[in-house]
Amino acid sequence: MIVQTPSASRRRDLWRFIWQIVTGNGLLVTLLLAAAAGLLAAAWLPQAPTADPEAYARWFSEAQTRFGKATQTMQALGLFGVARSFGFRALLALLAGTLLLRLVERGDRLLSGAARREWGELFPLLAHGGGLLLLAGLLVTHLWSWQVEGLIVQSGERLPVPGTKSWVALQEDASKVTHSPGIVVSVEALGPGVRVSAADGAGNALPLEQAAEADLHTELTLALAKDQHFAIPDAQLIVQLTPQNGRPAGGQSPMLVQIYHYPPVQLETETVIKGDAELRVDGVTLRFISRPYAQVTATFNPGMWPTGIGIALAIAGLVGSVVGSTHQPRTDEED
Amino acid sequence: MIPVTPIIGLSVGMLLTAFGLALWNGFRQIAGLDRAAQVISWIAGGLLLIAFPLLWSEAHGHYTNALHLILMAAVAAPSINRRRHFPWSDAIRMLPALVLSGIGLTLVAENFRGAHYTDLLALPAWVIQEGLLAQPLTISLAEPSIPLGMAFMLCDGLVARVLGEALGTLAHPAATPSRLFDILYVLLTLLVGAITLATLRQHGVVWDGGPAESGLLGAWLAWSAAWLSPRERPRLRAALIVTATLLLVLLALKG
Repeated sequence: MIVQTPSASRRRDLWRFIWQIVTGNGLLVTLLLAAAAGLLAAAWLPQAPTADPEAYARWFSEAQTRFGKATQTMQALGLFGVARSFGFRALLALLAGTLLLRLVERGDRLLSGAARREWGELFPLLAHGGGLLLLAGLLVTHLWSWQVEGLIVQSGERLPVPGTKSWVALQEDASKVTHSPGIVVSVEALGPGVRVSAADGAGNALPLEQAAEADLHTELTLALAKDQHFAIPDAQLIVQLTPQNGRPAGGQSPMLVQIYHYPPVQLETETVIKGDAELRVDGVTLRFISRPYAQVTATFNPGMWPTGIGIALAIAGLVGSVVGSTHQPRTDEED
Repeated sequence: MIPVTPIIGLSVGMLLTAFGLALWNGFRQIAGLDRAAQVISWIAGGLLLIAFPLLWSEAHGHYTNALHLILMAAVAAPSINRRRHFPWSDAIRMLPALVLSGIGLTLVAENFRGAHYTDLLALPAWVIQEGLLAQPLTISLAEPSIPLGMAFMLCDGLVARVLGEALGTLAHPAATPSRLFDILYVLLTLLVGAITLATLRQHGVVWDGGPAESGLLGAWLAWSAAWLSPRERPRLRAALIVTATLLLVLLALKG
């Protein structure tokens, strides 16, 4: 016969109490509310950009104008970078721990026969398992994923993603973006671009210069994500190309071509072209061949599959749990 | 063209009358008062439903804040006949419809000044676009596609009704809410799940940190917390539902 001492019994009661707290709905509700508060703070407060120093400077100036002296305190509290803050990450870790313990508790109840072995009992398990898989996927994303934003690739070009072995390409007719396997590429913007060359009256190619002291080329490929300039030193011409951004800016959008003679700098001609075109100025023939560009973001995320499967399982589990709970008999008054 | 402002004005007046009658019924329970309030609220809801397409056509297909508010009020307005009556709870249930239609009327009267426009009809549906952008699925919360916008509109409509029910439960815990909260939670879960899966497929990450996505995820977590909260404590549960629904209303109006 086993006789329990009072202190052993008290200790067991304490552990049972703690177990009930950590696997109960109260803690999960509190954690979910805290995570909701964090995300809503991220939605309402401007989050600091990290990749672009210029954007950060602009954001900082705007934040100081808007929040004044409180900016420093808010920044210290991580309110301008909620997803990156230690507090939010700790919250997600706690949430994962709670989900794991609840999964163990529910699984144990089901296996030990304490809960009815029905299909309906599987839905909460699915929801918890899905939630855990989703959080594990997010952890893998945080640890091993990378993202390169603002890559500009022109039609017919295959561009290596800096610092990686991956590549991105835009087909010749700019109809499709292709990329190396294992990455996800999303198109952020599309716009016009040109391959330009110049020839004198005899048909000889003239060198083009994109900036002072830059190398001379007989052909330049320019993406018109912004205004572009180049000079034809032998003909003393400067050419400015400006995208005519009507909405939506597509690959075949028109662009304004302004050609200046120097010195002194004076406008020779200006015209709007679309697609392939040829212009003749001072005996120089400028040939423009349309080369649309795509601005893309390349992402490598080994946590994509677990995250996606986790979301699908969690949705199935939650919807099943809610539907299951609505089929339970109600004792209270119904509408 | 049928002038829409008088119709909305009439609805607001009727809702105010229904609310007044329900309040009066709370003080002195007179036979037939609750029935009268109910009938008036149904007529007000019907008028708001008529006003909705008229307002939409006046806004040239722009889904404005006023449209958000009128749709929410139209769905929330009709009060349902229940077997047991809780006069104060019934009166408070009408508040969201009254407040939302009142604000909607103010916006409409200002002739859409300051309203937030989302050009719903000019945007593509859930498309895998042909030609350029062949790969990505275009889903943007800042500029929702038509099916996504419709789903959000459906949520909008039901949210105010759930809010009314939860406020009614706060006033009288025995006035338990209907299954509408559960239905809306399922709808929101499917919506949020579809958006996150589409974002994952398109961008390779589940959450790109945009304010609209963060807000929606935050509101959904608040709804999850409300759904998990104990049913045996109806006031606490109702308070959480009120918080969650108010968050969604604010998000809908923030655009």
